[in-house]
Amino acid sequence: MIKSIQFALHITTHPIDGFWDMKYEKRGRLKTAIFIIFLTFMTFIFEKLVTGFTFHPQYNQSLNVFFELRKVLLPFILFCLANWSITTLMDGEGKAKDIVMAAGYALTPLILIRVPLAILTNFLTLKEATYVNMLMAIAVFWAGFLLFIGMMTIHQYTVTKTVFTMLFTAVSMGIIIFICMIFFSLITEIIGFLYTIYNEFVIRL
Amino acid sequence: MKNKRIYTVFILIFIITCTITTSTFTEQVQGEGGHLNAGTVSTTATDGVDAGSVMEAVAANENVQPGMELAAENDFLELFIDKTTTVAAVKDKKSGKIWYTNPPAWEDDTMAGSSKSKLMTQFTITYANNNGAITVIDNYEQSILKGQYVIEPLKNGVKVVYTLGNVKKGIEDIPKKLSNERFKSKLLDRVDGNEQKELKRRFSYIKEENTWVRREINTPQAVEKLIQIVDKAGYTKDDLIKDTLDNGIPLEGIEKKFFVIPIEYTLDQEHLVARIPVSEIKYPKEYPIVKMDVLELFGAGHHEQSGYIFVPDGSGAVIHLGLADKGANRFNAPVYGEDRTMFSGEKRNENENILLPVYGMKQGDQAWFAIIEEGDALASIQAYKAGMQNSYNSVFSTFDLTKMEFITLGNTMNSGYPAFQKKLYNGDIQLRYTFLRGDEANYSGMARCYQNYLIEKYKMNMQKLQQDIPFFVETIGAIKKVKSFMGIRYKGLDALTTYEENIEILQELQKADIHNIQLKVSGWFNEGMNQKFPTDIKLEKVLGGSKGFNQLVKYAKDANIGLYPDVSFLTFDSHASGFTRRRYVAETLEGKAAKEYKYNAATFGVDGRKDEYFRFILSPSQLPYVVHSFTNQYKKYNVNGISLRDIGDRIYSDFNEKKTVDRQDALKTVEEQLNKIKTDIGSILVNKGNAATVPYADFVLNVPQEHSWYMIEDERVPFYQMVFHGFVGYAGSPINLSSDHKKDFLRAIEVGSSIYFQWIYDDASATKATDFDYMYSSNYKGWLDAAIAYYQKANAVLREVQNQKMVGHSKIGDDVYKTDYEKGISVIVNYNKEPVTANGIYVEAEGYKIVRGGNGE
Repeated sequence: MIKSIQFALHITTHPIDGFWDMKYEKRGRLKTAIFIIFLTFMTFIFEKLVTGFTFHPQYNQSLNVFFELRKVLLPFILFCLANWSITTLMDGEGKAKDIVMAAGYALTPLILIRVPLAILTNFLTLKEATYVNMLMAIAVFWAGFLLFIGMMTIHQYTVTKTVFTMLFTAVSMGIIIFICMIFFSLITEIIGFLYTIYNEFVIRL
Repeated sequence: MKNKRIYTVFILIFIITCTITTSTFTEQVQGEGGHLNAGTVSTTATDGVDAGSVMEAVAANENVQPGMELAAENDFLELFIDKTTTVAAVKDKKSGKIWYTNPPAWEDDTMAGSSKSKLMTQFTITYANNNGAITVIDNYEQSILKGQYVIEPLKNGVKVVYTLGNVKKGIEDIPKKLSNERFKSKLLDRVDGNEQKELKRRFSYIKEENTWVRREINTPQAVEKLIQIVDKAGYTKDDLIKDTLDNGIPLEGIEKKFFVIPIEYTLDQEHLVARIPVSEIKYPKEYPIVKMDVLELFGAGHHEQSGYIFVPDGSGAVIHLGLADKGANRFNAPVYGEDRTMFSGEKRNENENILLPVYGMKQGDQAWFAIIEEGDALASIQAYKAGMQNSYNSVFSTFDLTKMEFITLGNTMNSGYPAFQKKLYNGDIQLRYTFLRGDEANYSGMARCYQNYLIEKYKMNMQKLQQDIPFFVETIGAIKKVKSFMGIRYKGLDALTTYEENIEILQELQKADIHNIQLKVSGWFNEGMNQKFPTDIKLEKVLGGSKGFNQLVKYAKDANIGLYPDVSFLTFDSHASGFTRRRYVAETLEGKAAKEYKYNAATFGVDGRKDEYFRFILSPSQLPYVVHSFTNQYKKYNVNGISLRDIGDRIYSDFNEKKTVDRQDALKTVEEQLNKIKTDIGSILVNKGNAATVPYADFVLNVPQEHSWYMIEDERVPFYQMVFHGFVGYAGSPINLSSDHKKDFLRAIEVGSSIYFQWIYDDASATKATDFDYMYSSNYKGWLDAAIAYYQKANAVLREVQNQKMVGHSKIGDDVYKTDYEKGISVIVNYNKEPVTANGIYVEAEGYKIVRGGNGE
């Protein structure tokens, strides 16, 4: 357990090495990746509960765990799905498992920075919001950078190819959402249609 | 000489021809009328009624319009009728004033334009065809002008039976198509040679089908001739129907559209009673009468006259006679509010409802006042100012005889088709007119008149004089609230005021020397404010369970405090269990469960269709069962008061095909059940009580203090309060939730209301983000001192008049009002921000003053 966490920290600081080890030295664990995702989810909840009043406009709204879960899980699953679809077509070497692991490990900096930051907001004033925002941005960029390196390493891509696959991934995530929405609205239409027929039966007969 | 003789001959011939033409015409109408409709249709204006019966000419009376004949008379009134126009008139013997059903000077109207003849109608009907297209016809054009009416004398009055529509035979009475065999046996063989020729000319034989088909006929003379022949052959209506059906032609083409509608005017003591026996109305099945405007121009006031129209909008409102302002619409509002069983997709304004089925008009020093005695639950009251239709101000009632609703299939808005109420209203429409004069001819007089009517009808009694006026407190028990368990949301009950906390509030009030406390406890059982089906009483644990409740009951009893637990019988929460939807929930015309929706103030639309946004409407036919089961269980708690949340001001029908309950029947059921509740439980407190419920109640809360502020309305009047003051204890809306509590307090003083607060024990923030966030200012601790102060001020003024009738109310200055009580006490209220001197009496800014002795003039 401690080893896995140490390895996660190793990846955050030495991404190129780390992701290579993760895939080819088989040092990565799917369990650990899932655990990190869970921790990210907990971080979001922790933020909601702990962040100081000045930095939290919806301070007194009651927490909805399902909403927080959706915020973490939905993009993650979408990304893995889209990335797998794109890289399969573009000769990526990473397997689905690798993608999930890499994406999971890449989230570590979010936890590392945002948990202490949430505590810190209780002692900061709005004037110091710049630092908070900066640290937030660093967390996101760091995670993004890790994801980028991770994808490059596990798929054995060049930098340009990785840039393109990442862009395509983003686009296909959009397409997946779009198709889902079309599907749902179609279902509603069908239900509405059946309901109308039922209505007509009941009223006219 | 010779020339002269020729002229004379000519004139003679002319006169003779004229006489002959007129008489044959008369005969024709009579004959055909009788033919069609067994004698209800006949007569032109001059004959038809036996002149020797009740009628006698009253040329002696110079006031009455020429042509009007006395039809009935008693000690107070004389009833006249004009046999040529069927205009009726009543003469008030005391004042000599004559009130006409239609303005006598109608022909001089310059504003009416093409709708001038509308001034001569006694009623207008709106009928629909099966596509839902509506047609509006009136009895002047469709009946009086055609001479299709019969005047029959009645004891104390007169009855006019009108036939509206085409009753003369026409082309539609000749078969379009008939078989060779029937053509010969039914028509050809029964007439002479010449006529046979004519028949053969008008029909053409089609060999292939072996039938005769009617040719196009262009001239009316030819049609008339053919009708004569067909009649002579003895061709009957049944034959016509048979031939039409046999040849696959739709029946609608031959169906005659005519409506027979009687109206009776009778004198009953000081009243004129106008009655339309709905059971005697005849109408074609395909064309149900949707609406009927009755006596639209009765006592209509010309715009040059002074006076006002009184409408019972909210507490009451007056509309000054005169020309309409630009942009003002007519007044049109349903009596007893809207029927929510009729689904309406939008609600544009939150307005006051009509609670009393009355209206009237003052003209100069005379006034008339009408009470809708029967059919009140189907009625709407309408008022027009001069310039909207013609140069008269008018107020009248309209009755929805058949409810109609457009059903839309799918989500396209245009493809609706109409659904009609299955069982029709079987009662009558009855209006009672009273005439007032002199000092009485104003809204105070009208209120007194209605009060006397209610006393006689319901045997209402004056209240006993208490030491103090009642102090009304409502506490909210439990509400549903979104709660969260480890971040998982759910809806749960939250106690705002437990049973024991009620006791604490009562103790605080008693400490302040308030003795006459009436406590209304809302949301005390079956899931609190979102109350479920009330056939089983389940006391809520969060509020203290049955132990706590019994304590509260005992405490109230010992301290002599009125306890009114609140129950909603007519609507219940949609999550409710323990009921069968099919059996208990009323149905809309569409055949769906009827629901009371919440409307969004911003979009006017229904606020979502999720469960929490509506309540089911109970079918009135099930009300007796629900009330029975509730009271049976309620008795064991030994409380002798009950508060009815929705029975007071709501009447809903049920359009279920098998057990249709119209609104009038629903009203009747409600009255029966109120009587039962009164005997079983005891004291009743209602919410915004209407005319049918207040007589059973001891207290009424949320009494309207205002009208709806429609543009047409000019001033508010406390008519409702003037009717019921002294008979029931009442209060307006809770002072703590008012936007301007100082004004509300002054209003309470003006209209003789008690003080009413709606409180919770918990912090007001407990209502945040719930459906009850309107109670943002309801924590009792914050209001206690102010409440006690307001109560004591009000008590000092109103204590001595609490069981006196409010006999007068008048505006004596800008925002200064004077209310007079029976025994010479008057209260003057000044709403202005500076002191005023009105009628020689100085009144402080936003203050009031009691004036004793005399009438304070």
